[in-house]
Amino acid sequence: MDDLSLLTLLSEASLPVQVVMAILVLASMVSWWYIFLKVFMLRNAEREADEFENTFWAGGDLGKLHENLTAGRLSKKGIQGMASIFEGGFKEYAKLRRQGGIESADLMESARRAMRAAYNREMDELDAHLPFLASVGSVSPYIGLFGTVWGIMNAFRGLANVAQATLAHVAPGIAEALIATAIGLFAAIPAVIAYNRFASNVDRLAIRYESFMEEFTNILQRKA
Amino acid sequence: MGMIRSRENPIALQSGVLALLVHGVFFLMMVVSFSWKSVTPPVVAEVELWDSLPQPKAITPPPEIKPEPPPPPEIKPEVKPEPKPEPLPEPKAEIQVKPKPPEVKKPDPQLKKKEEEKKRKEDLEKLKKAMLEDAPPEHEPMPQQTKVEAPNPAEAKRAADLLAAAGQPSANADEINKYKARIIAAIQRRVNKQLCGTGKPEPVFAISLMPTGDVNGTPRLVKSSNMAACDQAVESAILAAQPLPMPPQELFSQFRDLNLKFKPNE
Repeated sequence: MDDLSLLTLLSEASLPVQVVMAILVLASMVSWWYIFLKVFMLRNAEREADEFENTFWAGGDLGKLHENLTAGRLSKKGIQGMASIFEGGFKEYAKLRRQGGIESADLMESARRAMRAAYNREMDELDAHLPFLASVGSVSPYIGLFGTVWGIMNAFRGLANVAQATLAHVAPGIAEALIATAIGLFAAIPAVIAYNRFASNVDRLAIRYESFMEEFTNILQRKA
Repeated sequence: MGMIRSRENPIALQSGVLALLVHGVFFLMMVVSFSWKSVTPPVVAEVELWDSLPQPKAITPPPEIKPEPPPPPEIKPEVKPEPKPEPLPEPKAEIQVKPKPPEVKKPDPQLKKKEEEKKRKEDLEKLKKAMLEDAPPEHEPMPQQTKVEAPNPAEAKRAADLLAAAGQPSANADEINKYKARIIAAIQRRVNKQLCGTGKPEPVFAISLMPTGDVNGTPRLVKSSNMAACDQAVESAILAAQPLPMPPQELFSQFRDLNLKFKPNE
């Protein structure tokens, strides 16, 4: 009762409060894991988009670029990002063109569809884990609040049996209960910040992908 | 697909380590920067040590009866000065005593004989009853009797025997005296003895207590010690000693108003 060190507060909390704390710590761990994953993922995706745009707009044969992509260093990770959109669209275009006898409008339509499919796959990868971050950001304060309310309820219920109530009787209970809110906020704040930042990064990448699709469609149209 | 995408595999470990690192840093920050009070706060309650505790009422009958019979030698001195039993019955009881003597004295011979015979026979029964239940109305008349019969030594002795044999009131008296002694001791410990000189000042104060052990109002000086400084010292000691050690709830009625005699130099 007198020992208010962090570990005693955690270990002497009632079971529901401890469960709440465990859930929150777990949520915080996973959300930070996802945060770092997304940071690296998005940074990679932006760097690859930069590199690909550089090589693409540097001019040169598109067929050669495609060969490089499929055979080159990118192939071991699989083709990612903007390159995969280019790859999907160009492969479809080249295949149909080789077959021959297809109108240019249909050709363009098929290439666009292939690019749209690759774009959707990329967006799915970019959006991964964002819903989890949003959930942690919005829900974990409530979970922490639940733990706090429960702990304070217990603290006051224990007070009912004491004839002369002093603050010292409730203080440890309230302190341990408030730790639950603290952990909830610790999990929620980075998750919300990360979610907002990642969402805007993904939007910007999506815009880049879409504008590339339009420009590449134009290039294919000129060739068709 | 588990918790991560296949594309994220190469950076999963790195991210996991970083996440653990963040939590470790935060935990350290909490432990180090926040001053966790691990020192015991000063205890508000005071502890008083007594070599003998006042006996709780609910003791098994045999031990309580045995110590009572031996006192006969002790009782004689008790009877003569008789200041000890007197304060017990409270001012209220004393007031009742005074009007009674005429009533009691007239039927003296009859009443006495009857009562004595009865009591001798019922002594044991009464003892048992007294042990089992509180029957203050039954025992209250006894101290009155002792007072009435005091002039007659033989009667007084018998009455005192009865009183002692009855057990309950004297046990109560013991307890009350013990608690009074505790209260007086608690106060006297705080008296500034330098103010009371080298003589034998014995100021008497009347205080009224609340169930919490606090003094209601201010202590009233009943008998001055003829040293104003000493009276002052005792009065401030009474106020400083709050909350005073209190008896169990059932005895509190005896403690609502107290006349306390202090002997700061003893």
